[in-house]
Amino acid sequence: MAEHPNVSVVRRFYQAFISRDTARLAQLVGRDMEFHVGGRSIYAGVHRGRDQVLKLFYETGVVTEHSIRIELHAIFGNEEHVVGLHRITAMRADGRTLNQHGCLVCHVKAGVLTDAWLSFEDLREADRFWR
Amino acid sequence: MTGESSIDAMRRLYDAFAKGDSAALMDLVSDCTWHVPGEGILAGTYRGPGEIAGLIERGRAETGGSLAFDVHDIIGDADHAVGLDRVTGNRGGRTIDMNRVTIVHVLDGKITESWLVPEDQYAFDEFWS
Repeated sequence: MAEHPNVSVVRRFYQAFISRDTARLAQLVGRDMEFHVGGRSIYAGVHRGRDQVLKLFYETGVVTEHSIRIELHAIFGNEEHVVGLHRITAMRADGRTLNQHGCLVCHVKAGVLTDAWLSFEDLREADRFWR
Repeated sequence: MTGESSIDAMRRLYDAFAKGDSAALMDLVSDCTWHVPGEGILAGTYRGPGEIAGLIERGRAETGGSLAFDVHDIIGDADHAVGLDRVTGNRGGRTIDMNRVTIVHVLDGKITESWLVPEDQYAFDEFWS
């Protein structure tokens, strides 16, 4: 059975993020995308619009000295939702580390992500890392 | 690579919970590890149907049976299913009304492991404190 086209879009999004292909990322993030980050860190909340979403990715890359690694464990979905299950690892200059499972629930429309909700397995630890 | 059987197992899990069909529920989790995240009274890892039944019973008792799950969507692949749901309930004057992601591993039509991801872990813990 062929992969649902919306799943392929989110898979390409993960691949672009992993390979830091910002041009490709910009093509996959919808112009009015809303990226929801759970928790209470400085990045928690809703990042609205392509520019803000790409800025979020850029800034989190900078503060982690580009150490974010994403390993995609599984990805599946239907017309309404696509879910990616991944492991995220990252380091901060002060020695803080992040090593967790996470999931990304996405809405996809016309070949781009329109909404995404990012969750962490251990939100308190994630908040301490990102604060 | 179809997810239909995983999705079906997840649907049966939600149905069994909604109907209070503990026989069906226990059959689905007959060899399962169930994780509840956070710092609330139910947080921890529950292994096997006995411990999971205890968890469910405690959740029911603590909330006077008010916990309900409104299932928004279920998706999956050969080994996983994910339920997107909204949980509502009340407990001693506190209320919960929250989206959750429930991730399960499925093998041969049974749930073998489950992880809950509440939308707001802090509010979830406050409800279960």
